[in-house]
Amino acid sequence: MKTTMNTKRILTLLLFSLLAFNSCDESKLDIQPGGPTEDSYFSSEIEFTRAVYGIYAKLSDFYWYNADQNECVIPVVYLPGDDITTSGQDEFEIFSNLNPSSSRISYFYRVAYQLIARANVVLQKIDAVEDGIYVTPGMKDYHHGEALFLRAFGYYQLWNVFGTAPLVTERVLSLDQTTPSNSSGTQLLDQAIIDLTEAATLLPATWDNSNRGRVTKNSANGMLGKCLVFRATVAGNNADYQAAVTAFNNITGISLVPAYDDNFAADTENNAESLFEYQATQAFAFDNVWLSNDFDNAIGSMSVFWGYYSDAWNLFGKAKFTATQKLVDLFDPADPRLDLSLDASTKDFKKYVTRDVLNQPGAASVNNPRILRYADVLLLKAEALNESGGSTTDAINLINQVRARARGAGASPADLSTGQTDRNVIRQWIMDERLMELAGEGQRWFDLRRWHMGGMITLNNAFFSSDLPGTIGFVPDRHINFPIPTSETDVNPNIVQNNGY
Amino acid sequence: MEPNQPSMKKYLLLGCCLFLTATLYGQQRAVTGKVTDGSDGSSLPGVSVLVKGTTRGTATDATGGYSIEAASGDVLIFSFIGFETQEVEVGERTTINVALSTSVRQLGEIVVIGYGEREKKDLTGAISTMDSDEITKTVNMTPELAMQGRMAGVFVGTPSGNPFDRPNIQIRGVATWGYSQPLYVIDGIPIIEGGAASSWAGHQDIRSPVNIMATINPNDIESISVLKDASAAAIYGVRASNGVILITTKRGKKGAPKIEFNAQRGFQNVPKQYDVLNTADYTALYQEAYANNPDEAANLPAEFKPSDPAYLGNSQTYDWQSPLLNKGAIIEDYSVRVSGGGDNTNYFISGGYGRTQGSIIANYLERLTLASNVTSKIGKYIEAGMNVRLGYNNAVDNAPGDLTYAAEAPPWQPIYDANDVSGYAPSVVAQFVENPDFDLDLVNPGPRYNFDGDPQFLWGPATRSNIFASLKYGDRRFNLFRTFGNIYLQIEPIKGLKIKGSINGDYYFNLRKDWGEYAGYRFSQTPGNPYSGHDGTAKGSYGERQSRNLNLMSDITINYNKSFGDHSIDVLLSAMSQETTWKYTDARTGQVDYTDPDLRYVGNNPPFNGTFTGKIPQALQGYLARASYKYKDRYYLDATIRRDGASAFAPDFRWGTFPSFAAAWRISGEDFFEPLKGNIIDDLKIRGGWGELGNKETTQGFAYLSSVEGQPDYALGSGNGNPYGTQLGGVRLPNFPNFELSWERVQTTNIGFDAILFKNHVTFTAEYYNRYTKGIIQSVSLPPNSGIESSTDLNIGNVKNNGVEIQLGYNNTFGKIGFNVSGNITTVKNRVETMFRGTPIGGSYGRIQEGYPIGYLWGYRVGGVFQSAAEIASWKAVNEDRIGTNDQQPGDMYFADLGSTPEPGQFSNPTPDNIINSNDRTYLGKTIAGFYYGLNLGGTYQNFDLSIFFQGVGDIQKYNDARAGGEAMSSNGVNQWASTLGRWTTENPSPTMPRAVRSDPNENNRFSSRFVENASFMRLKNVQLGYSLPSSLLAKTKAVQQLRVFVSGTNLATFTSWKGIDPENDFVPPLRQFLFGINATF
Repeated sequence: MKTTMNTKRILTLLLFSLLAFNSCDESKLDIQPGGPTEDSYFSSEIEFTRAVYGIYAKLSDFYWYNADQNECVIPVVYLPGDDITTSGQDEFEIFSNLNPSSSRISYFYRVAYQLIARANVVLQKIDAVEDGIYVTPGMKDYHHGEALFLRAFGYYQLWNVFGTAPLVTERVLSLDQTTPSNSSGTQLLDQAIIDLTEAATLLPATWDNSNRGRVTKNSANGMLGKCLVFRATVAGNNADYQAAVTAFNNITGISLVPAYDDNFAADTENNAESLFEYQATQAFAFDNVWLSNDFDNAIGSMSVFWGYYSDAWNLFGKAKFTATQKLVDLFDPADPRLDLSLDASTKDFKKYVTRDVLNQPGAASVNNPRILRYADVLLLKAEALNESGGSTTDAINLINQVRARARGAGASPADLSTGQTDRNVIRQWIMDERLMELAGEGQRWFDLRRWHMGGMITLNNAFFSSDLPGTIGFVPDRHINFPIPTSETDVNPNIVQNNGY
Repeated sequence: MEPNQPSMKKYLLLGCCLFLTATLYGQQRAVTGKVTDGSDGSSLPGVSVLVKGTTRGTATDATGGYSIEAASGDVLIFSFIGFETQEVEVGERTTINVALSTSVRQLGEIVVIGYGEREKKDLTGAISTMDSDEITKTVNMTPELAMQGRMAGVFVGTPSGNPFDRPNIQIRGVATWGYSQPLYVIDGIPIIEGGAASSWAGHQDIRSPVNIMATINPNDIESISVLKDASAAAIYGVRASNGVILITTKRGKKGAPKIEFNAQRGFQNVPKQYDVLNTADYTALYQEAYANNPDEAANLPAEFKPSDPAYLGNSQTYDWQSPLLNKGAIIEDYSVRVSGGGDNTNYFISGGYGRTQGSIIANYLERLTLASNVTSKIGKYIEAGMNVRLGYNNAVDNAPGDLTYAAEAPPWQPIYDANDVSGYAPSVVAQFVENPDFDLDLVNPGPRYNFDGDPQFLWGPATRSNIFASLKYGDRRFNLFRTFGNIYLQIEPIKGLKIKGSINGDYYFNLRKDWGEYAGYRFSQTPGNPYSGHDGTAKGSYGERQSRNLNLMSDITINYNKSFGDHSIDVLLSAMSQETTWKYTDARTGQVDYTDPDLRYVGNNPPFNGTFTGKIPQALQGYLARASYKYKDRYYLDATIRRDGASAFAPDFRWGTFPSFAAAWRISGEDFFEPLKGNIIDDLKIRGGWGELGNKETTQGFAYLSSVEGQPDYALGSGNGNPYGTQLGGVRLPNFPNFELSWERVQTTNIGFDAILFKNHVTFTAEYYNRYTKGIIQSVSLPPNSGIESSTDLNIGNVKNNGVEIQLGYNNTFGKIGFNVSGNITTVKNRVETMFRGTPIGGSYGRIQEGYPIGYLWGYRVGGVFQSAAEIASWKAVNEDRIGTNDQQPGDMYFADLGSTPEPGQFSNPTPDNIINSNDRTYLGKTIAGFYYGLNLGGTYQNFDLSIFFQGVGDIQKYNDARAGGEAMSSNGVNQWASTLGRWTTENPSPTMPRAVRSDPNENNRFSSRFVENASFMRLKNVQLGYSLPSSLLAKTKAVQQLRVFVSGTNLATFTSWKGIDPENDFVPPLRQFLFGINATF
């Protein structure tokens, strides 16, 4: 009997201690990770500002070396045009081996959507922000406008490269959102136009010097007009051309800089002609071009790779990119832009390379790519006027503004005759002027593509004036849209591959 | 002399006669003798000698001798753990020497199970075990490798020839496609290693390449049990789904102090290297490759042009592989253990030192271990114990590159240059010019000098880093210190009821020291500016990184067992709480002014310093109950339930319950079986079980919180002469908050037979298993359109693994020859059953898709090599290749047309469409072995013993990455395998190997069946020959009880059709090892 009592007592004691052991501790499972989480973030203006910087930072991925001369995505946009060629067998030069497994295609596609997603996060958070978080007058609108602008730039890139990539306008918060189907027609451009229209109402006219490089009302109006011209080209509608002219007319305080090559010099970035640039720099400790911007603050690469032009050592035997004979031949030899843009004998590009500042390892550059500058706007405006039945004189005068700046104090290129009324001739003038003025700036392929889609030109193998005429295999129906990467088609059952791949 | 004296002798004589007479008539007399080990003749101390039917007994002394009073009618019983008990009739002998033979221990063997131990005959679950004898057969720096091939169901891959690499372990296939390594429980402490399960490269870098298991000295291990099925492993609940490896270390046992000493020393070599082209053949290949591509012909590097002054084709050939391989790499290991115990207290002390070099020069691992445990009975009811283990590793990680890197170096690139100040031949030459913008007052001062023009490669565009120079200019090493231990208190208030509380801790500290000397830039393929990141005068950069992992666990266990007649019950209740925090700190500077290793430290040198810290915590709680019932040693029932909570999941998905059941019927215990016994079957058991386990390791946790990351930066404010602007910190949200993530669950069904046959000479175990994993957590790269940047942890799929395990052993003695053979084989059929929305994931190297094994190889199937323009024309009349340029030339490959554009909502369409594009990728092979096996042959003859051990893997394919590089023939000058001499040319129209062509316009090198190979192999893993000194000799030393010397060889031969260096690792190949060792007991 006594033993039983003891046993009971001990068992009770034990059960009690077991319970005690447990009762205090389930809260121990409520631990926090070592860093900030979304739950607690976005509680102050500076946190929103950082999230906006995060959107901008994604631009880096379109321009950096990407750890490999064969992986860098600059050629996706730059190389297909008829201004640049290469003696190497690059998929963006010869087209015929361009296929959905291309790692550069995959990367370009992915980072464009990451840019959009970062913008969508900011838009979602701004939409839900409580009063009192923002303290600087206007800053909420500015952030809103920046996010819209950058998202629109993502759509613009996607439309020009893939055409039918899906339209994503909401932040992904569940798996159901991850398998959209293709966009069609100009849906991506349409959204860009909507976003840019709104951004133009939100953004500030200018920023102070320490914020130089952030987008402004002018940036939004410039991109808006550009997108409208693009849409008008393929859809052939006058309203868009006219709306583009209106948007361009809303640009104020912007002018062509006197020296043409200030547009490609590291020390004259964000100048009076600039509307939108990627702000390349040197990461503060060591700009390691083998590590992405997202890798680490001190060494993640923030530079741009102009090595295809400079035949940099880190091409490792990959052929450099040079100017086409077609481009060289188009210039009046006395046009100062010829020698500022390239070396006519070797056809090596000089843009971005001559007045460059390299990053610390010497493997890339801090010289900003000019994504949108005023000369581009002037020529687009001329095109919009010419195509929409506007004043041909005004259109020609706009071209002449660009030519006048180009010749400086010299004689060439001379003004074009304002008496010309044949819109086809003027169109050809604009096309040629764009090729010369914007050569090597990553604009040409997008122009060719839209003109071809709009039936203004016919792209064929001969058109590209490649150094590899025998091998180039451009099939318009197929290559006008680049392939949707297999990284998407392999996992998204609702996506349809572009024609011909 | 007294006259009586002769009569004294007479009395004595008479006495002896009487004594003898008395003996003859059953009188007591002293019987003496010696007991030895029948297998090697060594003396056996401590053998119990008992007169049958009495309580009279003694034990053998240190030399195996004994003396006992016995009568001629008596029978002496000699018994000793691990040996067959022998009964000997005394008869008329006064000296009885006995040789005991090793027992077939299957029945009485004690097996460690979770939270306890059990006799092997009473097991209901699937548990494989090995003991210290087997563990120490091979010499390894880490215990996992000792398990290779030894246990059915347990696959241990050879990671590489790097001594601190982690082996890949698969227990019954692969149940998940995330982290699939088993849980290690060392002396009751579940090990959690910070960052182990993370798929993020940054975590893996901080985790370091050094395997923390290497801090455990394999010589200290008493046994390893592997819990393979759910019924055995359920007791570890949420972390047990990939199996549990229970490591039990040696303890003190009651008895006089026992000293064991082991010493081994040997050397190791890599048996093979790549056969690559010499300079002449190499030059010819690239001249041909560029000439074969008209577009690229003009880009032929000057180094390959005979007419160019830069031509290198007449240079000698340099062999980069031999100097990279560690010839005669040292391996040695010494350990000593002292153990013993008295009535109340047992103790154990151990110390060990080992070191080994890797297959590649400059990698080195050194280990120092100390361990001690003590258990003590305090009074009648209380027992307390303590177990402490200290480990120190010094791992030098200076291997400059892998074997493939060396093989790919241009053969004309020299390694050494006596004229260079370093003694090594530079890769590049560069000039510098003062940087006018350099300003130390700036946050970012810039480099003091800039490159003046680009650095120039000296050996063509494929110039390699002279990796050998890195030995002079860089140093990276890790010091790992680990403290590991527990204390417990156990109360046994009434017989059979044990209440035990313990506190367990595991702390390790990993210090990385990293030095790079700026002067080394000349030897790099990607030379950085040596004047950046410091004030322009520093000699090098230095960083220290600490990774600290604290793992604390407390648990309380109540165990009650009791027998009532034929019934036995055993009940276990337990509760545990575990917290782990992984923290790291990194500090580095670009400003170190001296090269002297003693003067390397991180000074306070803004702006040239960088630091970061981080913390990753997790917590886990669990309750468990196990009830076992046994009837007459015939019927067994086990039921386990465990409830676990883990911090990794959102509050609503945090807790999970994991049940399991098992039953066994020991048929041989039945009365009806009695007549069969002793003829063919000695023991027979059928067992089966079902259970469910969890896996939380495949998530890093906090998926529901969505992290905010601070890495992206942007610069604003450049212009007006300032090209840089100011770098500003941005943030990104790489993921979205996922509230619904919960456990992976594995359901396992197991059916097994255990049999002992032919008078204990044959043992046989066969098992069928079926593991079904539900809700596999996968870090999914969501479709890129989502913009989600890091992979997202989701419960997305179900996988089935099933198969059979067979273990068969035979053991017999023929006169002086002892012989044993044992083998095991495991089959694995792995199949993905369902995927979220049916969506496959993963690329060519490892695709995961419904209906296929996890991680199968996925690519194009080679059709053949075009031999003529006519053949191309007829192929192209029907087909179009849209991956390459579709401008095929003779010598290019063609690929099979196996599919067409999938219908919307589908992922494949098996209808050919005459277009070769991404729709034609197909199954090319599976990367999970279909079966694996081990075979051990052992023999003894007098004092010699021999064991021969084979290990193998079958039904497995791998993509041969090394060959894909070595036979690509399309690059700018990477050296190629000598097999490319058989490439397609018009003179030698190869049917299998395509032509050499720069840039590969036809994409002959696309991921295809061309480089997929059978990776099956059988290795002669280990041969060991030992000799034990005869006890007669040892007896004279009066100290040494046992002394065995042995020679052993590991990885002696590999039988495979794999076309690389080694089917398990072509890059840092495993080593062939020869050893000499001594084991002694005092």
